[in-house]
Amino acid sequence: MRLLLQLATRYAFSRQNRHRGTSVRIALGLALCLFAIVAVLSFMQALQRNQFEDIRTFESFDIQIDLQSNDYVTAKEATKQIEELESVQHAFVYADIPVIAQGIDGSTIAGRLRGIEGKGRFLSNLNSYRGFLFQEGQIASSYSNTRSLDMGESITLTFLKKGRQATVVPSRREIEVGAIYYTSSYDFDHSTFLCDVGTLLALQGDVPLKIGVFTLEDVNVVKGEIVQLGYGQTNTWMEINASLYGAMELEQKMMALMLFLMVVVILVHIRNSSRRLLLAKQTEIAMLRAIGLTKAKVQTLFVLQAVVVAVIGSLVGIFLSYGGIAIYPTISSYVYRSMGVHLELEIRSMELLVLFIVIVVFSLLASYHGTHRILKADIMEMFTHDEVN
Amino acid sequence: MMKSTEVLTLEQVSKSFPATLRGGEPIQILEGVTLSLNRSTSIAITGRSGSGKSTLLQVSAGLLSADSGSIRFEGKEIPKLDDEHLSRLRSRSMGFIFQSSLLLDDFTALENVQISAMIAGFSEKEASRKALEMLELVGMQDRLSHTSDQLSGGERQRVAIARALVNEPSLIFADEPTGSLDERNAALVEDLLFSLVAEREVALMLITHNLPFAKRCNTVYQLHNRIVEVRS
Repeated sequence: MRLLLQLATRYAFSRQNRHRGTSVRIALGLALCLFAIVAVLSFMQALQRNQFEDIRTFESFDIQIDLQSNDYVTAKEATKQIEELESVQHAFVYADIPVIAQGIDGSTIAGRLRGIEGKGRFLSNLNSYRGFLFQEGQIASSYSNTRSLDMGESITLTFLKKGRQATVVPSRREIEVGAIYYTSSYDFDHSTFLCDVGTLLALQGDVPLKIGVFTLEDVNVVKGEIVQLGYGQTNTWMEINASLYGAMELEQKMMALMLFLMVVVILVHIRNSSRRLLLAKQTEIAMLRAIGLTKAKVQTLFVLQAVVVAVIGSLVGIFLSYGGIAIYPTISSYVYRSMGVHLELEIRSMELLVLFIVIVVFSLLASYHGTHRILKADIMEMFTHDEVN
Repeated sequence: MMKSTEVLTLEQVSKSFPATLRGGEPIQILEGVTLSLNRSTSIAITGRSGSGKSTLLQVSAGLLSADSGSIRFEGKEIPKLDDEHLSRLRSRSMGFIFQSSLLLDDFTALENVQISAMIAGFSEKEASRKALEMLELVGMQDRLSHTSDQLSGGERQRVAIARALVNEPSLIFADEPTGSLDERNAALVEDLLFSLVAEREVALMLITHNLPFAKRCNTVYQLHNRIVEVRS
């Protein structure tokens, strides 16, 4: 075994090895493939995580309770009772009204006016660019809309409310922009004006109120607890965004398929490389057999060599992956500029371990299969043919 | 019972190859070849190019399988041996010298000989000692750490001789060992081979088309029309 190990390491990467270039190319190919998979996986997962986080933080919160009433006092009592649940982090009243905003330059923005008791994750991720948020009688527009609406301006909001004669009856109000805010979600910022619940109710008193809930527990379990309290219709963020969530799940499946294809590419690379490496060594295999090395030992020798190359290639790939994650913060501003999102990349160790094992095991099998094919030939056939099939 | 002096015995050995890699009518190379080789004796097989001399050597050593016939090496029927036993026989009782040396290219002269000894079961230290001794014997003590591509043809052949003899085999198979060498180097290798074979009482099966070289063996066979006959 000692002899085989010596030969295997020599055949893999030794300076004296004529085929070291082949081994290095194989290892490098493995490293880059592994790095590519990890990079794509981390980016996709971070993007999805980011989107889900934005949805849960700004759009629909973890759980939403539709009170179907505009009684603010009752709504506040309900939030108190809900907040008393151990599983609930924060509960707050809010309401949305669809609006069309018109700036003084005449340009319009279709969106919503959200009256909300800023609390929990929502508040901590809300940033004021100028002015003070949630001032009574004023609204906050977003940084992304500052080209058409700016602080101190009065804008005309057109509310689309249900009417008796017509389906929707437009009603207009003028209101001052008292603050400019921004969040990490461009979509939310672009379509939302913010104000406190009192200002919203003053603008339109018959708007149905809702309660938003943040939790760190399983949303379905918490939903069950809230339903038992008997307040209106309760939905989780996944139910509210069912179509988006479905699309994301589909995206996740497609991502898995794409990664599977990348793994297949890696495996084909391993198989071809292993074959190339063995064919390059065919004459030496014949020589070793001629001087008395058994088939089993030759097979062990070249399987060991393939494993050494695969392990080193994979370790370099893992090193590159962690290195990439480590230097990502220095290029994250570029990603933000081009994609409009702040991503926090991470590597899931278990996924990496599975990839590592798949690569090493497949290298082992490819090499075993390759040597098995070569060793089926007579020794002299190995000597005389360029390639034994 | 007296111990047999026969090292190698071939009886009615035949070998053919398919006409092409895709098959076709087989081409008969050897037909009913019978010969024997005793301890401490040497035989030479001569014949025209393509007559099957190398095939005969390869079949005799179990490097190539025969179609039919019996091949006994030290009393053991080679075609019936499993890989484990045949490999052991090759490493301990047979030595090979090929026309183009065929050293392990990635290894030094010393390692080439040492690996052969290690495969035969010697420890690394013992194998190294034996390799060193053999390389000194063939005059390669100054080229121990040189790899194959740093050695001349004659030097490579001397390393090959050292490797063939390091495990003290009972028979050396030499296939045109001077075929690719110039006259001076060929004469050197010839002398070395015959002196070592005589000194170590090793049997020798020599394939050559060089008649003066062949005549230094005890018996000279000629391969002609697929059969061997003693050359007069």
